[in-house]
Amino acid sequence: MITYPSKIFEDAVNEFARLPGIGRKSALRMVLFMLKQDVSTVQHFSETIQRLRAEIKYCNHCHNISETEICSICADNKRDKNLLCIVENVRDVIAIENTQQYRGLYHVLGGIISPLDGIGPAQLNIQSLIDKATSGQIKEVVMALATTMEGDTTVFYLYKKLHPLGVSITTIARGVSVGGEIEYADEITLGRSILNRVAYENSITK
Amino acid sequence: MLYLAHLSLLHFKNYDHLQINLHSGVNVFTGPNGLGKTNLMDAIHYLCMCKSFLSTDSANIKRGAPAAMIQGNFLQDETAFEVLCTLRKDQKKVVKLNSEEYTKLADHVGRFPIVIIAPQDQMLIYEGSDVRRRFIDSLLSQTDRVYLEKLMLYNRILQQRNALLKTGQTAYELYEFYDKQLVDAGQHIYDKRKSFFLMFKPLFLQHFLSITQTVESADIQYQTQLDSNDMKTLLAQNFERDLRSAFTNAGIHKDDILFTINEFPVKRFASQGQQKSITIALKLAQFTYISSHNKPLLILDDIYDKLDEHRLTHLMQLMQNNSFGQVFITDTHPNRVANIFNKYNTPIQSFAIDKLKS
Repeated sequence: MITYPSKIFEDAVNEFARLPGIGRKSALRMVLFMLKQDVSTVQHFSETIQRLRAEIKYCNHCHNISETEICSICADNKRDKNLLCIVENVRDVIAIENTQQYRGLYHVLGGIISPLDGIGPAQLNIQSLIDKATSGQIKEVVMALATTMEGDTTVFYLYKKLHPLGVSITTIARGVSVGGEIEYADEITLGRSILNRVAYENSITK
Repeated sequence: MLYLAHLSLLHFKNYDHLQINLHSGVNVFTGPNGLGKTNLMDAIHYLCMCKSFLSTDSANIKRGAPAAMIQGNFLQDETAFEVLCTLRKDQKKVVKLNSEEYTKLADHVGRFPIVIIAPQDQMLIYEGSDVRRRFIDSLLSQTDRVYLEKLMLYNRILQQRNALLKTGQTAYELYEFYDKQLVDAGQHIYDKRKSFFLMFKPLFLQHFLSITQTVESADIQYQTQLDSNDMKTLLAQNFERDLRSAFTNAGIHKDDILFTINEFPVKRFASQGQQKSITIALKLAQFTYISSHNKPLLILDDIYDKLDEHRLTHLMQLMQNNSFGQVFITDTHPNRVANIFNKYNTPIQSFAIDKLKS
């Protein structure tokens, strides 16, 4: 066990070491860095973290992170309220937003179905999704989930739940990546791309 | 023809370090027990299969050393290949082919095929059905990549389905999805195993007959629930039972191989000698099966003292007919194997293990 020069110092190391991917050595470096900063800088740092936890909420509609009851995306009147994109977590919202190609709303599931990890449909934001679909405002649901077995399981489950409600269900395309060479694409992806080929008129960049 | 021309070890098991040039034909290693004959065979196994046939990776590093290294130079039709396998304590093992590291070890397995006949083969008869399934799976995976992918998918879904059964939830949509995937992968695996047995059975029977030279009729049967019902029906029929027992009762994960002699199951009724004949025939059939793709190296570890006249004659005939490629033999007796090969006028390269190590 490493001994530290002070109890306060040790407590700080312990707190940093709780962060994901941070071991005791990295935590020590961070604490030493903090000690070197101005008091005001560190004050600002800790206030930011405190505010983060105290003031960030999850949007009542889509479960995205938000400072208000309804997030800025759901509150945006220019967005297409008939279009709903299903994602696993907040990181996926950020990724899709950065493409600037999507103008509909989101629904964050908070995970994907994997009984091995103790995650079943009840652990996810699925009931609120079904309620939304039942209300009749949504015309199309876009499934943007991981292309893993667990992602596919979740999509299938949601399809079974949403299809009877009369919403159209689409999934994001899977295929050869843009700028990618055919010979380097993995066999399964390439095989699917051939099977699910698209009419050239539709593939011309608009 | 494929053979291992040179082997070098560093801190592997009880070896400090070792450099040895090998013969492309028959190599015989003699010496008392406990000196490391089998460990040397295990090193060769590592080069081909990326793992030990005896123990876990960490147990193979010499005590006190930080790492073990096994390096081999293969020659195949004048082309040279260098395989390097490094084991470090608490770290992932690294396997390199011509200095290039594999990202997936599975890509290496099968590149330099190997068959090993050893006393542990008896496990194939005694142990549970998983050992016998692994025997088929490792054979099929080496020659069929799609099989391996389907098998991995099947096992993954099976785990998820069993986990779901344990939660007691009745999310029928999830079962529907898992079952669909299990049906697709399971049916594929069943078809492959079925056609594998069609090819494998005659090979096995032929070797068994040559070994025993008797009127005893042996048989090898692929036992599977899928013969009577397809995977879809099985899952549907067993669903209530699955829910009660909290695991999946039917499927290709329940497959087995049944060995019989004169229609009696070998597991319960056969003598030690009959069981030995079965396992040797099984391994020789494995050798013949893989040979149609690429002739494997053959290890005969510690079995020469246990061979009776018929088995010995059959083995030696195979040697003389050039059925084998490179062969490695270990024996405790210094001259026994050499004398046998002399009798058959087959040249060998002998190594005394205590001299190798000094």
